[in-house]
Amino acid sequence: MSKKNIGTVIVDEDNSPNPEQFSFVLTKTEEEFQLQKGMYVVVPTEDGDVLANVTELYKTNRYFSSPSAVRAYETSGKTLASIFPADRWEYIIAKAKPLGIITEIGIQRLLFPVSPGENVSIPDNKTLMKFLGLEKENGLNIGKIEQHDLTVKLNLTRFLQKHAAILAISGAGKSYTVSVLLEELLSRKADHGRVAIVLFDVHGEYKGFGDEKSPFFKDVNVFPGGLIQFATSSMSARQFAIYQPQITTAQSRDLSKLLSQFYHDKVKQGKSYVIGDIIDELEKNEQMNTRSKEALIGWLYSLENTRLFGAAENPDLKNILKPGKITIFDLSDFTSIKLKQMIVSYLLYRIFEMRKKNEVPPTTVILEEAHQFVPEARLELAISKSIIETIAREGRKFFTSLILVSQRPVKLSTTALSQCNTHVIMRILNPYDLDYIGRSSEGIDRSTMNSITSLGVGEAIVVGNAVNHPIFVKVRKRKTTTLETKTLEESAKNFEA
Amino acid sequence: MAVQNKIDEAIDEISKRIRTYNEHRKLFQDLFRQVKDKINPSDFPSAFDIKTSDNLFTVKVPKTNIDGLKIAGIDGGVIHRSLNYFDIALIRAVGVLFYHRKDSKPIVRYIPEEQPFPDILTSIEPLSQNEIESLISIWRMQKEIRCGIDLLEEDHPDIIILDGSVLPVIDFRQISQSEFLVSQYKKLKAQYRRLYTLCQKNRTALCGVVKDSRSAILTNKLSAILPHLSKLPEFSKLVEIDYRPIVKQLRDTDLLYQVLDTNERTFEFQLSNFNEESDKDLPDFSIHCFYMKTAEFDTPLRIEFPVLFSTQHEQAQTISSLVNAVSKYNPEYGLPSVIIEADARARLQETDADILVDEIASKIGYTSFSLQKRRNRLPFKTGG
Repeated sequence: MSKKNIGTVIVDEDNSPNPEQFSFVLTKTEEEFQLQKGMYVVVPTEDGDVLANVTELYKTNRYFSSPSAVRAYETSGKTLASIFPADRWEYIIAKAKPLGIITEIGIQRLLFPVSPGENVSIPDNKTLMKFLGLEKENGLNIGKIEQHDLTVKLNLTRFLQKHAAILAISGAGKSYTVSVLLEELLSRKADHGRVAIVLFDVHGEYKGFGDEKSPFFKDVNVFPGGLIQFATSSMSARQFAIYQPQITTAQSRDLSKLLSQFYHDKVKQGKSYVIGDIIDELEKNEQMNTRSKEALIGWLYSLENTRLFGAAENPDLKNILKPGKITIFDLSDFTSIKLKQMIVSYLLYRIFEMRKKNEVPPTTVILEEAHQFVPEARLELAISKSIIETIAREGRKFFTSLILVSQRPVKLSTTALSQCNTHVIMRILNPYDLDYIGRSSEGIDRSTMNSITSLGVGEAIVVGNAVNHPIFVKVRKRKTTTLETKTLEESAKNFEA
Repeated sequence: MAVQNKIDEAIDEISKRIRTYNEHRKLFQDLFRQVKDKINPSDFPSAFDIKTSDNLFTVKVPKTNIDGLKIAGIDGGVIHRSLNYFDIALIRAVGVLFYHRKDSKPIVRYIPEEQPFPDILTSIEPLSQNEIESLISIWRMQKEIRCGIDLLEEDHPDIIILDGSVLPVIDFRQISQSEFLVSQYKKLKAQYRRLYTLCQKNRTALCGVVKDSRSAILTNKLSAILPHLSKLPEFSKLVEIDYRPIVKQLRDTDLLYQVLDTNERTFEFQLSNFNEESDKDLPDFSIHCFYMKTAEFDTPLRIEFPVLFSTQHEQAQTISSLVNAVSKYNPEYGLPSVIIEADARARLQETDADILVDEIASKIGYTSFSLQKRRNRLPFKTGG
């Protein structure tokens, strides 16, 4: 390991060095080396190099340590710095948290303190990459650990197989980060392993990917929400009950019998049917309880009115889900959350079923505003919650992954969020959301938590399965163009023009 | 109960005595302050042996502009360990040179360097505790004076301020029995002589600043002279109190803290000659001193200087104005800035010596514990 010595371990008043913390004095001048919070450092021990993260930095200067003396001297009208060579007494002290020790048998937990007087140095990027669990080649390049100029390439399996969540307040760069991830997923070569991507675009932010000018134009299929049609003949009574939760168990049983009959009479004959056919058949049925029948017909009418149910499925999922391709379902024209939830529910149900049968490639589903589709609230208020939670629990076995994107983590289903093993956390200010993240993100410590509120736009903490330790990343610039952001004044002027 | 009564009585008696003493002292200081401008030390009878060129008891320190001047300060640091078989001392001295510039912070130079590694000196001579302490003082002074000589040879400071006396203050009776100590002392005196000579040649002012002087040389002389001042009406009140024991108990700085105003010094007076009996063939230097108040709420500094060039009055004026200029920033701490910086650089930590002793012990196969004297390694904590 090539090393650049920057400091020396000191004995500090907080009983350090200890296995959890040590302090060191910077032995280089600020011109020679600029130590920053969040940097990684190494300290040699007999058992191997200890890698640690700089958690705190402060300056000390004996000339300014006594407020009364500073005040007394400066009553002379001169500053202390002009009387004494105070700048020569300025020292930078850093506190660092050991993350582990690199031994011959791998990375181990540190169970003993580093020694006072030991040299502190900056690890080379190769070591750091290995320690943090980053990929050298073929990973998803989401940005850099700026202090080390180290490109962060996440392993595809570690990042996606056990699902991921991107959490941040509005304007912190969630959609930008998703775009960067999409670019990475779309840029993968076949021999590196590619997934099919499905994105539910609630605000129409990703249409730019489908532009002719976009470098990914050929791999993008933007599908307007208005054209989506469910294949009525592929749906079970239970699914109808999910879309229309008022359908009772008895009604569901009757509907199931009817659909069974339709399957024999129509589907097996290569014919299709629509909700209207089911309603006609129900009206003819004299065996059913009249009140129950009328209610069921009423529920089915209201489903038919959504215009989502047709004779055949559109789009043909088997055709459009291809490795290295993305299908963007543009739901921006829908105002009804219920309709959006029905679409997400239907498509995810179908994708997961097909994936189980290996009829479509391993698929990654990106869900913007995920708290709308998989809320912590009751099931009947979120039609899509059930299938999302199912994929969150079982998708790993069938290589169906979720990326949940949300600005209100506290409103997200605990089941779904806890199954997202990697969290990309950007700026969050709401204390309830912060508390929720603290409880649901594995491996996040108090000091990392405290940093979340001070993250800048485009800065993120990656924590969980994709990395061995939480890392701070500056998200890289995207290659595709972003949608123009207008000021309120511009929008108002355009409206009046 | 009887014991308690005795303690109470004793405490009452002590408190009463302290209160009375303080009252009398205050009265004496106030009276002296009133007459300070009427006392001409040059008029003192020669029998009192006060050699001065000033004709006022207190002298206003002239203001000076230090822009463009090079002001140097020297201080030393010592840590001493007395072990079973030998004594070991860590000694370092640092010279600090501030080159003052207008509207800018001073350019700083350190001699020999910013944080020099201390010299490690050991003695296996069979010396008594007093002799060892004298030896270490001699070594420290040698190091400091060497630093001053280097400063003069490498640069041309306008003034060098030593921390402490400008003389090699050693009780000769403590060292006279050891040839080794006498030879070290002679070497030290030679170094001082060289420093004075170089200052003379360069026309660099030289002084020593004693920050917590316990001297009573001035009050002792005053005590003898006071009866001769009784013609001053203000002093008639003194007759009403028994001033002699008060003056006897006062140190110079105690008296002068009340008597001197800020930016004021006492008259300068001869302290001694540099030469001793044994040096009579060598050129001599007259050593003078004065007290100066640089900070309103701090005791006066005692400033000693050899008369090297120009008159003793002129030198006292130059030295007092320069020392005052770099000491008057803080109303509660009137030490020259160069001495504060040199002290911080030269100061050694107790742990430095501990590390050294541990290292030596490990090399010779002892534990550092067994090297220490029995009194320093009590098996139980003392007190409480």
